[in-house]
Formats: sequence, structure tokens, C-alpha cells
Amino acid sequence: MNDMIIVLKEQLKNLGMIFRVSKYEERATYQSHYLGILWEVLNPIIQVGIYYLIFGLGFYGGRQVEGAPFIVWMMIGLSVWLFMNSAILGTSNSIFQKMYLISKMNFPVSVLPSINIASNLTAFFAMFGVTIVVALSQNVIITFKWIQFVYFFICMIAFLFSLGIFSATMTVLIRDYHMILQSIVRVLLYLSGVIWNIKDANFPVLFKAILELNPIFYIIDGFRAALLSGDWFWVDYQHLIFFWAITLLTFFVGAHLHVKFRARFVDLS
Amino acid sequence: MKKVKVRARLLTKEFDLFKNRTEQIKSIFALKKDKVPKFWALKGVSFDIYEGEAVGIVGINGSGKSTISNVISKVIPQTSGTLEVNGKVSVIAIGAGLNGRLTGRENIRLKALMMGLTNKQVDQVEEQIIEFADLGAFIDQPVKNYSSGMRSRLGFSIAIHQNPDILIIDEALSVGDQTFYQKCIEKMVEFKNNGKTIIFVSHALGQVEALCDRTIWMHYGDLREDGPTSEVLAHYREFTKKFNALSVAERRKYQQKFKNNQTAFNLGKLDQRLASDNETEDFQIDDKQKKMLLKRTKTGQGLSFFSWIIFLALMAFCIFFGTHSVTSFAHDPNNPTVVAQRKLAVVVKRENKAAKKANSNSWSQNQKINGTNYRIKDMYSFQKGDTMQKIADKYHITFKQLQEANPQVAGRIKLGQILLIPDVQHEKK
Repeated sequence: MNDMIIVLKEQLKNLGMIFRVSKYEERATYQSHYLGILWEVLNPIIQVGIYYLIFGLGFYGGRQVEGAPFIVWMMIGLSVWLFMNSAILGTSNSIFQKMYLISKMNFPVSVLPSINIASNLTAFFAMFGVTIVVALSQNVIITFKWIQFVYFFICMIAFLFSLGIFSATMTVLIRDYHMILQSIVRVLLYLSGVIWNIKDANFPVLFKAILELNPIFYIIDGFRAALLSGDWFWVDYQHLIFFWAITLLTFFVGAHLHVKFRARFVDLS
Repeated sequence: MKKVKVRARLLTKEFDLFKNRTEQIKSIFALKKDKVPKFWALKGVSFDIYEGEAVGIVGINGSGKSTISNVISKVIPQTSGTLEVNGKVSVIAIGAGLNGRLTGRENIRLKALMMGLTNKQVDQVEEQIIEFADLGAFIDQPVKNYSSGMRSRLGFSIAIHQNPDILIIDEALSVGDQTFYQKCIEKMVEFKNNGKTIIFVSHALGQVEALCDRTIWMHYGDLREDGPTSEVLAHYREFTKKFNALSVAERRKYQQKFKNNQTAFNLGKLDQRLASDNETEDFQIDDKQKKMLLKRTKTGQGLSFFSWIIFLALMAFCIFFGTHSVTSFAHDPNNPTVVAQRKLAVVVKRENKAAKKANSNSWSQNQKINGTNYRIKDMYSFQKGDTMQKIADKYHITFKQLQEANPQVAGRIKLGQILLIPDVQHEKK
């Protein structure tokens, strides 16, 4: 309990620093590229193209999914997924990677996952902007339900941070954790309903029920419901409660491990 | 009276000599204890360092100098004993904390931002650092292209401009040239005069003499001597002279003896040593304190009772709710899949109604579509596992004919949807 408060306090205290460092790092990453920051949009667009070709035209044959054109349905999921994917893997590596830098300075290590999430945000907003433009061009109407974006955005950040602090600590303690996470994330692309609808897949009910407990599915599905006039987020209260419970549990364990072991990070890595 | 900046009491540092990662992981989660060989880099060191002091730390390789600097800067935790550090610590070690792929300027900015400076403050301090490092055009080159001297100059400039209260220099000046060294010494003297503290770890005794008024001599994890620089260095020089005069075999034997001592050391032995020397009196450690200091420092806290309850409650809640929503999934009215199915059922119903209506109106008679006569023969309710092709085969018609007869089927066929089966045989006869 105290650990969670310690970690949260450190985030709030260093909020300004988190954004400044993330912004700077982002600029530094793309500095050596001719197209620079443009890659943040270009990369996802290429992926959208590939998935549209394979799943939109091949798998779904141009049919609608959940009452929306496939391209819109997929782009919402994919823009959220690409962000979560890079944030999940990035946060997991964040402390281990920066060890050389922080080992000789007094630095609040727990903000490193936040910095990573923050530096991925620009790409997310850019991609989501493109998605909305495409959605409007496909006659998706703006409804009052769009304000649910804020709720699901909070869900997403809370989940990524909780998992991030846990993963980052685990990666320092056990290097293999990152490899395991990488493999899991690769499978999750297909099991979280990013590019094909797991809701009307021919799975046994029990398997589907388990898949829908996945927090990533909850977030992606939520964004879709918000933009494509689905139900309000409180209607499906069961998954809502489960999502927050599992996020809190991850944060609890992550914060505890982090605070317990961070003094020994240099010893251990 | 001068303020104490660093107060160390009976500091020890034990390193585990793991053979592989598995042993390490086991020890992290406390599954295995005391089977791994140990090495004690510090064997109970006590000292006070005051403000405005420049303290040199000397000693031969492996005597624990760097361990001390790492413990003071909180890079690694001590195993037992207490350490009190009052003020901001900044460490300079060769090439430490520089990212090779970034340029010198970028490194400066990144470091400064990570120290919590705002962009405006960074702009100011950046110029000062660049001027002090004096790297010329190289400041905009990646650090990986720097020579070791340039690296240490950049590192020194960054560290000293962080405005620390305690500056630890870990053998970082040995690679700089004379001009830069002179500049550093000037800066450090200025530092000292401002009441700040410098801890100077070095092999270059000349540098120690020039800068430090007090010196600590570390010897295989023990603090061998602590006193005025001239005195300690005289003894240290005498020792190294004697040591170097030994034959190679004798030297190795000497080293081995001390190394073995460091392996066989434990906190009980420290207790025995304290009984025989006067360290406890010197630092005014009473028995109660001694007992505390001889206990291992726990890294991090365990979970409190309250936290355990929260943890278990969360865990139970997740499991309960998870299983509940899995088991109730099929009939939960709010479940997205069920909702989707319900919506689908409405569509199917609507389309079926339309189909039946069409059937009662026009399909009762023969009808001509695309030059083919159609008459309704049967109605078929789409079942699980069916495909259009299968149904067509069943009634001996072509897929295309079936499709033409059912224009109401838009997109994918849904379960329970009614298909009209045209009678094409009739027309052939």
C-alpha cells in the first residue's frame, strides 16, 4: 500500500521532468533519420495497409464489422494497439536500458516507465488523428458518446503504467522476462481483437469469455464502442470492475517489487 | 562546529559471487541462502566527512575504494552499518552516464533534464558546461567518437555544474591532460571554499596531495589509516615501496592472504575485531548501537499486515470476479458478445420477415429473373456449419441461382436466416 503511494508521489513530483525528458528523447530518436518525426505516422500507415490488404480484403472480403467499415473498425483498434504494444515493450526495457545513465546519479527510477509511455504518446495522437479523419470520411457520425475517449484513455494509461512498473522491475531482476513478454505480446495482437473480431469468431463460449477478460481487449473494444456508437462504458460493468481490479493488482505487485528491489538494481543488473 | 556531510558507521559490503543467473535469481527471492561464496569488499568502515573538506581515498587495486564511492552515492546499498549523507551527491567516473550514440550537447541536455531542470534552466547551464568542457567542434559529435580524455572532460563538466553538495571523483581525472587538470583543480578549490565537500578517489598521489587535506587509506576492505594527507601518504608510500620490493611469489602470497580474509569474513568476525580495537570508543558507539549496526540492512520493506490484507483481497476479488464473468458469460445481458448476437438476431428476424413477405407476394407464382424461371420450392433455415455452396448442392442448384433467389441476404449469412430455395428443375422440364 505504502509502495503504491511512494511510486505515485514520485510520478506527480516529477511530472514536468517526465514530459521534458520524453519530448527530448523522442526528438533525439528521430534526429538521425531524413524523414524524422514523419516516421511516427508513416510506420503505422504501412502496417494499416498490410493488415487492410490481408484482413480487410482477404479475410473479411470488404464486409462491415460491427456496423462499421472494416478500415475504420481496424484503424481504431490498430492505433490503440500499436501504442500499447510499443509502450508495453518499451516500459519493460526502460530501467534496464537506462542503467548506465542512472547508476551514477540520484534519480527517481520509477519515472522511467512513465517517460517511455509519454514518449510514445505523440505517435498515438498522430495515428488516432488519422483514424478519426478516415472514420469521418467513411460517414461515421460524431456522437456524444465520443467523450468516452477520455475514460478509455485514462484506463489505457493506468494499465500501461501498472504493467510498466511491474515489467521494468522484473526485467532487471530476470532478463528472460522481457523475452517472454515479447512472445506474449506477439500473440496478443491476434487474441485482443485488433485486426479481426473475436466476438463473432467460431470459438467455444468459454474460450471467448476468457479472451474478453483481457485488459487490452477491454481497452480496444472500449475505444471502438466510444467512436462507433456502442454502449456506454458503464453498461458492461462486469468487465469494467474486473479491468480495474486487475490493473490495481498489477500496480500493487509492481510497486512493491520496485520499491523493495530498486536499491539493489545496480547490484542485480 | 563543522557540519557532518557523510557519516559512516561500521559499513560493510558483501558481494555474492554467483556462478550463474539461476543462483542469483534464487537468492533474489530468498529461496537459497548462504551457499553462494561471498566476498566482503568493505569490512566495517567508520568515518566522518565534514563540510568544506576534501578527502582523498587511496589504496591498492581491490581495496574497496570504488565500493565506498558507490555506497556513498547510493548506487549500491551497504550490507550492514549506517550511512548518513547530508546533501546532493554527484559522481564523476570515467565515461559514466554518457550515451555513446548521442552527441555531447545532447548528453548534456538529457542529463540536465533528468536532474529536473526546466528547459530554460537547461539552456543556461548548457552554455556553461560546453564552455568548461572546451571540446570545440566535437561537442556536436556522437560521444562514441570521443577520446577517453574528452569523455572525462565532458563528464567532469556535467557533474560539477549539477551544483552538488558532495562531489565524488572516482579516478576520473587521471586521463585528462595537464591544462584541463589544472582547470579542474581550480574549480575544486573554489568548490571547497564554498563549503562543499569533495571525495577524491585516486591512484595519483600527487593529485591527492595537491587537493586533499585529509586522506583515508583503504586496505583490502579495512580502513587502515585516516588522517592528514602528508602523514597517511608517507605511510602509504612506504608500504608500496616495501610491497613492490617483494618477489612476485611473495606478493601473490600476501594478496592471497588478504583475499581469503575477505572471503571468510562475516559480521561475527567484525564483532570480535571491535572487541579488540578501539573503533567503538573512537566513534562513540555504545553496545546498543553496535548491536544494531551489526545487523544486516534489509533492502526494501516487507509487506505490512494491512498491505497483505489489501493484496489478498484484491487477489480474491480478481479471481472471484474473473470466474464469475466467465461462467455467466453466455447469458450476461450486458456482455458485448451477447449484445452483438442480440443485434444480429434482430437483423435476421427483419430479413426473414422480408423474405417471407416476398415469398407470399411474388414467389407463389413463377417469376423470371435474368432469363431464368424461378418458383419457390422450399425454405431453408441457415444452420451452424452450413455454407451457401452446401445448401445449393443439397437442392441440386448452383450457387449463383441460390444467390439470385435471395437478394435479401446482404453480406454474411447469419444463423437462423431463412433462404429461399428456387425450383429450377421445373423450368428445364
